[in-house]
Formats: sequence, C-alpha cells, structure tokens
Amino acid sequence: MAKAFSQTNFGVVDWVIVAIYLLISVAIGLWVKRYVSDMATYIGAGRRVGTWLGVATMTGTELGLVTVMYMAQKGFSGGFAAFHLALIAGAATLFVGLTGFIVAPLRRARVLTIPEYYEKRFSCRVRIVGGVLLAFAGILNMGLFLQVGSKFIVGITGLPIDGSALKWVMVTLLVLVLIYTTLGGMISVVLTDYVQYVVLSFGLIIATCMAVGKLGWEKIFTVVAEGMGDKGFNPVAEGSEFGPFYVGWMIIAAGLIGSAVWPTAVARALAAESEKSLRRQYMWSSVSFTVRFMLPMFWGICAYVFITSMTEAADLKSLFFPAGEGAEGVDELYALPVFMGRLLPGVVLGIIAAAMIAAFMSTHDSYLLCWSSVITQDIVVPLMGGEMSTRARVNLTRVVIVLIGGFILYWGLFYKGTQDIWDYMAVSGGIFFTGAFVVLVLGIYWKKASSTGAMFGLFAGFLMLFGLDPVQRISGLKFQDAATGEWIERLSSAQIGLLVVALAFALMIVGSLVFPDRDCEKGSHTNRGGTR
Amino acid sequence: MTWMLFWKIMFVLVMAVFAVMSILVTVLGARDIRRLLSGLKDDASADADPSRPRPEVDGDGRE
Repeated sequence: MAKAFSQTNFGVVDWVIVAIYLLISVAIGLWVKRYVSDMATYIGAGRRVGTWLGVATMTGTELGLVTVMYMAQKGFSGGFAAFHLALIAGAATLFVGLTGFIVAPLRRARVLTIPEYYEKRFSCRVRIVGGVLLAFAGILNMGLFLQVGSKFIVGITGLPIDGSALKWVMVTLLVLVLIYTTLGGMISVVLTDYVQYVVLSFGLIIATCMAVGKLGWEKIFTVVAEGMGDKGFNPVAEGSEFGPFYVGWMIIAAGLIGSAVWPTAVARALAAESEKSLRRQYMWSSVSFTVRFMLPMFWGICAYVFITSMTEAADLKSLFFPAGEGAEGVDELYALPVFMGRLLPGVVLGIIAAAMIAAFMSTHDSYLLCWSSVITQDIVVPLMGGEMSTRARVNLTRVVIVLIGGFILYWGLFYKGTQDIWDYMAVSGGIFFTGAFVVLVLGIYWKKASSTGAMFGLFAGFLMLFGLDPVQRISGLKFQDAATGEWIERLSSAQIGLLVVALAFALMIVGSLVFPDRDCEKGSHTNRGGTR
Repeated sequence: MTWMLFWKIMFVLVMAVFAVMSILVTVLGARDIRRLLSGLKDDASADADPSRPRPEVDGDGRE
C-alpha cells in the first residue's frame, strides 16, 4: 500500500510553490494588523466588504478542503446522482439572494453574530444559551477538519501514510493559521480568501480539463453507467444511497441552512457594506456554492473511473476494491488525492496543492474566528453585564482562538475516526442549526415568537443526537436482524433531521403562545463598547 | 431527457458560468480590496484624531 500511495508527481518545485504561498498568507496577516481597531473591524472587517470581494471570501471559506474530500467521496461512491446536492446548494443560495431570506433582516439589525440577534429580538438569556449551543456544536463540528484535511496533503504529496508525517502536517498548518487569524482577524480572512479564490478557481478549471483529457469525456459517463447503473445518475433510484427523504433533508440542511443560517456563511452577510451588496453577493455566490460541491464530486467520479478502468491504476483498484467477500478496502477519502497526485504534472500539482492547502487554512481561520467571537461576544460579555473594553474583547477573542486551536489539534491526533465521520459532522452541526433555523425564521417573520418559545426551539436541537449510530442502537431506533445479523434502522438520519426541525417549530410555536413575552423582558442591551 | 444527458448539460453550463465569474471576481475583487483598505485607513485616522469627523457612510457604502 505504501508503494502505491507514494507514486505521485509532487516534486521539489511543488514544495517551493507551497512554501511561498503559505508565507504570503502569513505576511498578509502580519501586515493588516495595523487596521484592527475594534471588534467591528476584527470580526466584521469594518463592514466594508464589497460585493465581489464578498463572493470571493464567501466561496473561499465554504470551499474548504474537508468539503472537497467529502464531496469527492460522495462522487466516488454515488456517481453523478450526488450532483443533486450541488443543485440544491446553488438554488437555495440564489433564493436567499433574491429574497434576502433571514440574512437581510440580520444585516439590517447590524449585529455581529446570530446570538446577538437573539438578544435584540428576545432576551439576554436566549443569547447566552444560543451562544453556548452554537460554540459547543461548532467547535465539535470542526474537531476533525484538521485530521481529514491533513490526509489530503499526505495523500497528494506522497508523504509516508504510516509514519508521523500526518501529525507534523497538522501541527504546521495549525500554527500558520493561528498566526494570521489571531493577528488580523476578518481582514486577514478576507484578503487571504481572495488570493485563495483566484488561485483555486483557475486551478480547478485547469485540473478539471486535464482530468477530462486524460480519461475521456464520454468514457467518464460510460464507466459510471456500467459500474453503478441507474443509481449512478438518479438520486431517487431504487437502491440509491440517497432517496427522497435524503433529498428533502438536504434542501433544508445543505440548502437553506448552509447559506442562510450556518454562521460562517452568515458572517459574510454581516460584514457586507450594505444590504444591496449582500443580496448581490449571495446571488453570485450561488454559482460558487454549486461549484464547490459539483467540482469535487466530479473529481471523485474521475477518481472512480481512473481506479476502476485504467490499467496504470491496477494497483489502486486492488486496494480500493479488493476481491473476496467481506474484504475491506482502503479509506475512500484517499482516492481523490492519490488520483490527483498521479494525474497532474509537476508545477500544476504544486499550484493546486497550494490552493487546496489555502482552502484548508481559510476554512480554519473563518471557523476559528466565528466560534471565538461567539464565546467573547455572546457568552462572556453578556455574563459580565456588557462591561468589557474593546481591547479586552479583541484580546480575549485571540486567546480563545488559540485554545480552540489546541482542542482541534488534540481531537485530530487522538480521535479514532471511522467511516461515520460524516455522520458525526452532520449530528454535531445539527445540534445547533436545527434549533437556530427555527428560532431565526420565527423570530424574524412571526411577531408573536417569545423568549420561552425560542428556548424550547434551541434545546430541541439536542434531539439530533438520535441521528448518531451508537445512540440509535441504544435507543432501539436501530436493531439487529436475528436471522441475518444486519443492522436495520427504523428511521434514517435524514428522517430524524426532518422530524427534529418539525418538532422544533412546533415547540417554539406552542411555547410562544403559552408563554408570551412581557414588555420588560425584551432586548436588554449588553453590547456597550467595541461595536458600531 | 435522460439523467445522464441532464447532468452533462448541467455540468458544462455551471463550469462555463463559473469561468466567467472567476474573471469578474478576480478583477472586481481587487477593486473592492482597494476600497476596503482605503476605508479602514480613513476609519483609523478618524479614531486617532477626535476633532476630525468620522466619514458617514450611507447604505451603499458611499461617503
């Protein structure tokens, strides 16, 4: 296996390209530190992010390396049927841009975070609870980013898969990200995202053309048809890994929530220079949001075609699709980087690798900034009654960034991931976003929504834990067939997700009607100092 | 129309639009960066000089 995985075109020149790129990113962070004057600048880049820069940074953040890896895996296993996720993401983002659904009211409220909106709309109590849930779920959610992203780098560069290379890659990248994120905040994030977008967008197009040139346009479709049948194209075909409930759940999760509720995407809305700019930014970003799923999936499909049909990949075929009943193949996550390492020539490989590393880092910097600012602005400051100077807030946010970085390094080094990592991410994210989606929708568009109702809605998100495999087995939602030994689920994760959202809506509506707000409970202002 | 044909058309269309958009974002994004840094410089100057009025920015980001 080591010999097969070490065959890559990644050479010395490519290492130099990667090193130069990373140094530029750090230099940007050091240079923009002079512009950081208060929390609005540190978290929101002074709300001066124009439309096109907004598109670049929104895409840069959401086109993370982990997204690439998992979408490539979806393409590898699901074929072109997986493309439906990309269409859903793009259509939902376009819808949000055209209507301003959720994001426009948030921008008008001039808040820096979603929990801050909770306070303006409901109460300080809701803000703190919302902040705790958000930070908890968000930090858990990103706990495996570092490990998974580093596997890509090990795979594409041909570093030893069974040595300490993975650990050193994780440590090095994390240190670099922490340097420019703690120093420059959102300004660093925006500028490095722009550079990443430029390099990545042209690199992706070139790499895609090379993959098609190597494999053959018609052959790509033919091999998928032969290997997967109708399931390789139709997401609701009989026996498909997707199905109607999955598609419905993705409309909410990958579509509406991914564009209008997930904090790192919404952070771009809150940093936009105006509402008009925000809507334009979303409309154009709908293309990027489609591409960020579709392109990696296409590469995953190309990796499948390469491995299953090309004679030069015979060694890989035996690793990923071993013969013999019950034989377990190599982790599918490695298929994409190994394929790219063999397909792309030197220099091009270095540029793509640099851009993918940048994507990895830009996701980390945005997520680190997002969760740390929630802890500062939405938990600590409200608990202190709002009495905290600008300097103290910025410094506290920086300290929290470093602490979160330490956690994800620890989690990435010691957590023993399984094939259920995607489920882990969906559940951890869902703890926050199922409740938040409901609270935002009803809070913005229904005048009778109350603080108590909002609390019910937020806590309903914990029911997402029933989507986790061990919890399903303990609770009886999954049982073992006595005859075949096969585990059968009574409810899929998608069905549980849809049910949780429905229940959260119901609980919040009932809670609001039974426990309406009294006038004196509304909107206590604990955000003095540090924002404009 | 078969699913295969649908995805072929969709993929080519999306890639074409993305290519055009990438050029736009590269060029116009650079312009936005200049405006961002200029605006932040103005804000920093206003903060440093209390007697100098901070420029008012309207809903479309114009002074």
